[in-house]
Amino acid sequence: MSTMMERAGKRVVSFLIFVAALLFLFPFYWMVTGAFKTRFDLMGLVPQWIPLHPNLDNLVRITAGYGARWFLNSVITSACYTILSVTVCTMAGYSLAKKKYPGRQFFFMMFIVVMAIPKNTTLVPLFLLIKDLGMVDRYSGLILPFIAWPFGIFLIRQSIQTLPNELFEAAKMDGASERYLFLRIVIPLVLPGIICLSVFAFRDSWNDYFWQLIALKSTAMKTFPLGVAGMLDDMVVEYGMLLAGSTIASLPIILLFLFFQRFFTAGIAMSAMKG
Amino acid sequence: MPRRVRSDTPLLRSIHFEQSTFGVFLVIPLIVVLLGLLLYPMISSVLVSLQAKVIGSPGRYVGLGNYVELLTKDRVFLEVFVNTVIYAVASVVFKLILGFAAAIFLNERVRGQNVFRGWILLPWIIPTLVVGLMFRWMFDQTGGVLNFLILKMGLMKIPPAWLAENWLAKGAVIFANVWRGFPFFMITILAGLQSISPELYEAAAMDGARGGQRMRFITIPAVRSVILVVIILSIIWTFNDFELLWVMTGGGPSYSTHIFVTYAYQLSFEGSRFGYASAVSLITTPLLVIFILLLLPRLMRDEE
Repeated sequence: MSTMMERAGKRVVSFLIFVAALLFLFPFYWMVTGAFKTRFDLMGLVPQWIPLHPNLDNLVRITAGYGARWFLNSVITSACYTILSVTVCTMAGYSLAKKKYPGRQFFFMMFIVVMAIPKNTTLVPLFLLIKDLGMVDRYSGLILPFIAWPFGIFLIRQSIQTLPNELFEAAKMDGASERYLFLRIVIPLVLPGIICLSVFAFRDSWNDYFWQLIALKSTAMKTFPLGVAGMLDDMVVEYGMLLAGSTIASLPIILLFLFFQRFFTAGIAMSAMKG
Repeated sequence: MPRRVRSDTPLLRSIHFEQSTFGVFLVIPLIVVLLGLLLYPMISSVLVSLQAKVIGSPGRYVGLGNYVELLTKDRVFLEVFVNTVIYAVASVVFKLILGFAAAIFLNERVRGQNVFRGWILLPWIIPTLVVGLMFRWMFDQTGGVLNFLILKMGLMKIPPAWLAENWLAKGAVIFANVWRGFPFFMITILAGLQSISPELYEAAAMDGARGGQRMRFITIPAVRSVILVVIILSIIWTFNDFELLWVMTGGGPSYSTHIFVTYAYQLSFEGSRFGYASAVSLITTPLLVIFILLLLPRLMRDEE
């Protein structure tokens, strides 16, 4: 009897959760369907729960303008940022995890502090700096300032630290060179960590908006999110275009997430589980 | 963790000597970037905050003038300070409640749990900008779906202009922030819950502990430190949540949804008062340093 009650109770809970989940996901539904609605339908007094005249107008208009160029800018920036920052972080993470030299602990402490200091505090001087270096409105100005990414170093350092010292000892005895040790032993062993880091690096760069808003000036150099947000400044804000742009901007990240979900979850949990 | 016991064998000592050169080599790019693009801006940020600097002209040192003006004359700053606190505290409280509830639920065996666990992270992974645009559209006074529902259900004759009224706008941005941020709480708390051994609960049940007691004596102590870290991280992030606010309200109406970071942006990149803006950014640093110091021992815990 009690098991039946329990089962019924679980059903009810499941149903409630299902409803909550639908409500929770509604903004996504509203964004994606909105992208396919006409301007007239969007501003109508009665919203259409399902687009009555679905069309690709908004998407076409976005890609016809600067959209394609913006998308390309975003891809270039995010790809370069991912490669560079993962390289720097892996190198430094290994060094900080397994090498002994004076100042190592100090460096690590410093990164932790830097990790917590929001980059916004330094945006003004950073902008003045890249202006002096002539990097405003260039890919380099978007990418370089942030490749030494404390969270990345932290993550790689943690995974390398779990490798047993005996392993390094044994490889040494077999005559492995430092380079061999790093490239052929350490990197393959911490590959999951590196993938996780790459996914996060790509996401961070793709999703960035604040720094791009500061460091980019010309329309042609804008990244995709920045270009989309720029439409808010138009005389008449066209929500159809905004929603279409938002959908396109989210798509690569959602795909990335679907492919690497395991790494995402692990990485997120790790950033706080350290405590 | 205890120090590795064998680090004093002669073999290892020789390895460490060799290793150190390579180790330093590996860390060089990092040091260059840190010094050039982090330390330099930080120091110069302090220096700029002591100047009356407008772009294009060399700054003139005014001592603590900017700070004095900020704390004594600038009424907007006071409002911004209050906004930041409200925004951060309210967001974190709601995120914690929702995140904790969701984590408890997902830790049980309920149908559909796996699907939910994947989808629930979506708000947290898409660009914040997109979240801002989504909610701006839903809260829109005339075309927004929220006001349509209010009219339809006859709750109000004239539905409110959500993003154009002081407290409503505050509520709206907090709502969007919570929607975006609670999945992070959930996932981390869930990770904490999963590290609790089921035997603990079994033993407690055998000793006759009821649900409430199990929660109080097993669950909460086990996830307390995770929760603390998540809260601190979240406060730091919320303090710097530029994008959501900028896209949803632009800090308005008037200054009611401005927080430090949006105010500093407006002062510097729209008003071109760089020195003053730097002072605004820096004045939050002592607060953040307190949070960071709280966090530090936890992050360093596995050190020797």
